Amino acid sequence: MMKKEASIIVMLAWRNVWKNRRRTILTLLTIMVGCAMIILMNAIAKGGHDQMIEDAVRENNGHIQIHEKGFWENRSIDYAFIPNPRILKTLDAIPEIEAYSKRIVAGCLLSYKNTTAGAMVQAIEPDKEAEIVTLKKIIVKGAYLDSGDDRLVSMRNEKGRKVKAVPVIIGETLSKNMEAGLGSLIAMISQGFDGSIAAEYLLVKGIFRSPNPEYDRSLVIMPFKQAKETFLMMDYVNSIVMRLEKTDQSMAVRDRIRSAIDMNDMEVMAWDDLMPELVQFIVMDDVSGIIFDFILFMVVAFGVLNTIQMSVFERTREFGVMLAIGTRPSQVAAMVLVESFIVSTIGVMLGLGLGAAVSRYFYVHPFDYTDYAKEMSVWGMNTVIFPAVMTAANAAVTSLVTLALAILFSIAPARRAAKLKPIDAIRQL
Amino acid sequence: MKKMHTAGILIVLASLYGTGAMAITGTEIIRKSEDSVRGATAVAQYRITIKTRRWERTLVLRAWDSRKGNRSFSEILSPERDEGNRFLMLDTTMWHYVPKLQKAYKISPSMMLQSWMGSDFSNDDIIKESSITKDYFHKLEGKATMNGEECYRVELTPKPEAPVVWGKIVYYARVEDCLPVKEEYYNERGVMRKFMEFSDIKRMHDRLIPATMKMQTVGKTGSYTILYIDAIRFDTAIPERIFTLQNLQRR
Repeated sequence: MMKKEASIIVMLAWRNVWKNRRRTILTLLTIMVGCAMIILMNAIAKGGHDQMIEDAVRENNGHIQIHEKGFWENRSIDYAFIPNPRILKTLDAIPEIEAYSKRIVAGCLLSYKNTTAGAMVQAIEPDKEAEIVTLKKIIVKGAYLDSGDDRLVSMRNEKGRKVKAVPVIIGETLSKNMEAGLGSLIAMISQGFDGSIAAEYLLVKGIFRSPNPEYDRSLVIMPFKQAKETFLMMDYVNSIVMRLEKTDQSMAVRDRIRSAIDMNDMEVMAWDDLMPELVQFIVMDDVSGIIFDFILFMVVAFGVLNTIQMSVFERTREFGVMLAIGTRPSQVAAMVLVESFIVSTIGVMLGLGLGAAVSRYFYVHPFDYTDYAKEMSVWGMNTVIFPAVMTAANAAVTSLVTLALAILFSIAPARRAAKLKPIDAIRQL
Repeated sequence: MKKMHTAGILIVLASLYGTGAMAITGTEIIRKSEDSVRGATAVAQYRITIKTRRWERTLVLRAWDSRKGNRSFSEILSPERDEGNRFLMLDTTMWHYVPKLQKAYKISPSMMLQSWMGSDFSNDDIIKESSITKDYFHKLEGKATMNGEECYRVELTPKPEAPVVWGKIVYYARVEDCLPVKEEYYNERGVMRKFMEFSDIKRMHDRLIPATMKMQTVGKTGSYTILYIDAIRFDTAIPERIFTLQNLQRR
């Protein structure tokens, strides 16, 4: 009996939906476009955030770094550790790690002719590092470091004396600020690992242009083997930096490394610990995204409310007759709700299709702000390509919320229809 | 009779002045202390042992110091790796000559608070050594026993506009001869950051001075910097050419 009643209500609702085709199509369009817009907005945000993380990881920091506790806060050569077999074996055993490389990091003072500048020496293993960061690809003048650069170069200094120099790569802004181009002999002083004075001549072998102005202004890239001597590191390093297959493996791999090595005096940091400002930016951006989503959801919800309300108004007499011949008010209300459910479901499904299609388009043809890179870097944005990435979570949440809102906003018109008095309703219109 | 009376009073007063130790002011204590430790000029050979949580190393340094104009010149004699590095200080500026690069660097204001050669002394500590007499108000706070010695406790607070980094310095000087026993350095919030202890008081050249000074940074346990005076001559005439950039950069 119940089953039959339900099927009658559904059948009635289905017929009612298609009785006024134009109105139904308009409602469908509202839901479809709204739904697709929300999916696209979220996909663009997600794709942009992923790209920003990827860019930041690729620029210099890698997915995960290992240091002695306190290094990241102080960025001082004093915080160093010996990459013992236990640590290296752990890293070798984790398949998600694509490459890892040792670094020495030291603040220094550079001097060329009459200019001096503070800078950061970052000593790298050139071949391994090329798999981790984009440095090799952003050389604009000269060449990247290679194994030949592990030897000192004999040169003459400005006073004509024979000196030995270490080949280095420097940032473009640093090169401009110091007026030191390719082949310049820069004098560097710093402090060695043992507190002694570390002084060295540097020969500019290459110049890189990083999207990150900070690196462009302050980084000096030196071959690891040379820096080991210059800073008297013995077997110590300041950092091990690594690249994983995928960014979303970062936290799991980080925890694995943490549990495998002695954490008393070590720190293992994933990109979110290394770049908290990036995490903050994404959280802030997500909040504004939620506000935007909320507005779009409300537009869709009121669109549904409007059309259902109108359809109930138009059919006042019809409902009056139904009630007069014995239809229960709850059955009338159920019928209106089922109508709304049918329209919303079709609308959401169409919206999902459209949203996926448009997201796919902007994935293949991402928003490209390369021409505005300078302006954007003023705001600390180094990412210029924004692809849209639609996730399953995005599609599921958007369609379910749309559906729920549509039905929620149909309750009022449905109740209205159910509460009609048959005598009055029949006399209307 | 009356004359006798006046003379008597004078004698009593004089003796009172002599024994009344509290009559000495904070400024006098600091001045006396600095005068005996530094002299008008000093030529000295120091041994500086720097101990950090990881390593310990000892530098030998020869230094020429003239309080007039606050000038100082020093050269590292050993270890070999640092040999020939020279430092010149003229009033508030400091240069560092690096022999390997044959180049003199002026220490920029931003580097002033950095550690000198990895020690517990900052560049600023070294340059501002003599400013405790002129940049601070000195208030005698009474006496205290410090490291087994009866000491005056003098509190130094910076004069307004004085270019100093400390919020307060507490200076302990021996009551008998005003030689320093301990200095405590506080930041602007009144938290002690560093302290220096003086010991091994002995006759060097023409006077008694503490021959060992140990500087420690609060919170860095196991690390310290000890400065030993191996030889010193006070109040000798130092040729003007010592305190020149030419001397700094000579081969």
